[in-house]
Amino acid sequence: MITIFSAKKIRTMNPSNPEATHIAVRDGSILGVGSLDEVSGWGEYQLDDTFADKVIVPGFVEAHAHVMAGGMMMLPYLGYFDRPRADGTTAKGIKSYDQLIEMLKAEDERLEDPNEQIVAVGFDPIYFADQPRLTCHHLDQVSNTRPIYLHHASGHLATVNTPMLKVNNITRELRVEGLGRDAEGELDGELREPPAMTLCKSGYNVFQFTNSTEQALRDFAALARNAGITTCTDLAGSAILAPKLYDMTTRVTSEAAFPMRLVQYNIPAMPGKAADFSEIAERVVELRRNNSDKFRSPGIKFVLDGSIQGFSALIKEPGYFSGEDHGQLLAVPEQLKDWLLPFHKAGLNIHMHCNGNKTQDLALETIEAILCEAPRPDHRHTITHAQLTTQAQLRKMAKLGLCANFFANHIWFWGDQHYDITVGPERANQIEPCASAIREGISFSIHSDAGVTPLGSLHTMWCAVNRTTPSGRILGELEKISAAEALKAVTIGAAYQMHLDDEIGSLEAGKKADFAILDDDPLTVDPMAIRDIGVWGTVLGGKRFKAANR
Amino acid sequence: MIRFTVIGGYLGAGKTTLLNRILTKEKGVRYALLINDFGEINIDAKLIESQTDSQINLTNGCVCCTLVDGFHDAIDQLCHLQPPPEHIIVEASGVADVSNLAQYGYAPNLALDGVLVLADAETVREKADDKYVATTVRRQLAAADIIILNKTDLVSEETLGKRIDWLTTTFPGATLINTEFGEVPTSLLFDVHAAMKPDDLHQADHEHYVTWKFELSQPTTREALEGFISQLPTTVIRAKGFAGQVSGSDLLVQVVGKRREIREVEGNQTGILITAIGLESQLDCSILDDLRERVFGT
Repeated sequence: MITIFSAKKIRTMNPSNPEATHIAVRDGSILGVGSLDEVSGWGEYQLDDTFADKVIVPGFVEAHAHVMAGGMMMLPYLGYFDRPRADGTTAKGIKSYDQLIEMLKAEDERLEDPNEQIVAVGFDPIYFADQPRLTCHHLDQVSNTRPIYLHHASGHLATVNTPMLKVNNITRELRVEGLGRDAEGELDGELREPPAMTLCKSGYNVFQFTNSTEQALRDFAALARNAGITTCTDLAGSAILAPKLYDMTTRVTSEAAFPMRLVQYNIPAMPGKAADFSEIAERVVELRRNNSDKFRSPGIKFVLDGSIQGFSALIKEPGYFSGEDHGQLLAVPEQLKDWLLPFHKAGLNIHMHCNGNKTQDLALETIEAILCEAPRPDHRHTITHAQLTTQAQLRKMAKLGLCANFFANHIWFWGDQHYDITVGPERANQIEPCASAIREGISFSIHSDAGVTPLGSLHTMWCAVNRTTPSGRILGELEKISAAEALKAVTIGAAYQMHLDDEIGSLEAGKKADFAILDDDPLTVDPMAIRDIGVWGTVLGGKRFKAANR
Repeated sequence: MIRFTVIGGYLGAGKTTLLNRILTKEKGVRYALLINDFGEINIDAKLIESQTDSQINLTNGCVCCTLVDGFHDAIDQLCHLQPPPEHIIVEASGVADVSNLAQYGYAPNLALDGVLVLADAETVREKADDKYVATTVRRQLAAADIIILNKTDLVSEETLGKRIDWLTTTFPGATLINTEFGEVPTSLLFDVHAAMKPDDLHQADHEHYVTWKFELSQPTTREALEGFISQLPTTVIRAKGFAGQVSGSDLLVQVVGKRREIREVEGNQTGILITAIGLESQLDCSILDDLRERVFGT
């Protein structure tokens, strides 16, 4: 059965055949892209005019996200910015403590069981820097009987109310350093870092558990579909550390109604910890053998440092602009080559989380050493986040054949903080250097790191194109890229760094019939309107998947 | 309460050697070790009672686990072993923030015993200025209650002197132990009970340490006791004792390197009993005698 989809315009991202009006599909694959006349010669077909007034682009490929993006949005959301939920509604951003209390009060009233705790996510104190810290006293205004646990966006902090302290027997006598206290030494409900957060077992466990549920995976896929994403990574997969989740993922992704291709890059061991990496590489090769249409395991992910806004990324001199340097390297430099080599030799694709550019120096040195020892053309290993990549690093990455995956969403979500607090004006203006990557001929993608920021390739494109911050600042005019370049980054650029560019990422004969269905053309709208373009949904393997709000 | 120790140190400092010594030499204390990787340790097959992917049970009552999930879950599982371990020892990865890990030892069912950080005499100075790991290495050493300067046989006497000077001035307060091949009496490092009953120490270890005892029949005050333990020389590896107060509950004194604690406990002590131990080559007991006299006038 052949279906021909018509559209107002089709942007193929195939430079040799960039625009079309019709696309013929058979058995989930593309037969031809062109005019109706050009694509109708394959035999009897059904014309599908559903998208006659829409713009079709290749299904977006999100190259850095996590299933927890689905899990966290199953919980009450207290982030600063609006964020979509899987059902198509929007969770409103919280701009003040009053709003936060109001929002939690509504949740308190909604719950019937007076003892049921509230576990909420997304709160980030960096946006309330001019206010006193959020404490149990704020949360006690919501309820002084119902336990409440707020998991902060960073994952390193939580704020809880007095009942939550009580049910977990957390008292002022406990000496864990991460317990926040007031001037009199009384607990103020802030829990810093896991040794303190895990004292509050009931709250912490709910957060962890929610992220590993089947519903989290389903909601993750729904969020992707709603944003036009047809292939999405789970870039800290747990198939090695928690094999049971892998079986669940295999089952769920094999369902015909599952609306997304999931590409999993697993974490080989707890970050920073040595392990038998040769054995793990064999295991990943085995996982790769099980690749199915909608579930792939093409490589491995190494987390090499922390985050810039958490001051735990390892950054080069002159270091952090303000704030204390908590740079945390999560690899032993002398061992990193031996850690990576088994994966490289097994033909696997390595994605290295480097938020700080000093960490990135180590990654580049190590990859160079690996390539000298075991030359491998076309490895496409990728530095992911790569936020503070310097010009020298870009030149080296080009020579080493490395790809970049820039965290473009940071420009919007933390751009002002990077300018004012973390790295200062010059380096903030060069953060996520997409234009420089193009100048150096480096293949790159841009990402959301969902749930750190929301899934949404149009938003991520918008960030890279406009480089605008919430305060209205333009963060580095000379690193802006065109909408076409940004679209490339979230389609074929992302597919390339996962070695999937012969299957997905552009609309060409023989490739998967994966489309994002847009209300408007991202290449011709006002660049500032790119993120506002409506998404009808997707076509995945020739099947229509309508967004939840359509 | 299960005692809790963190062992840290950069790559090559000798953590594995020390872990092997704990597992194979100790008898009588049920240690639970949370280690980085089974591949690195070397347990005599005869000592293995049973084994799974993530846990080895030894015939001497010890258990050895690797970290597959977060630290909290792993420690929680160890606490719930039957019978429960007496002492949990966590091996930090070479780049871990040991002071953060040590915080788990303050959980309600645990008692933080100490943070031991090994340093390789040959390389520690260089690593402390390394482009990538300088802050990591310095942060680890700064968090140490006891720094074990290992592999001293591999450097000249002059270099060793420089290392010791550098460590004592850069990380003041920590007890510094020099050793070769990680040969520190493990019972001294971990086993507070054995340390208080020197006769129970292994004969081989026996030669290395010296015990100092202080008994007084009158009660004291918290201030006097605080003054005493805060002035203990850093050559004291461990001290433990009880004291009755002139008024109020009894006081428990515990010293592990620079970690010095006084806690109120129930009891009916009428006087003071404190034992301190250190290495024979390093601890000068006459300093302790002088200190006692200065503080307690006896």
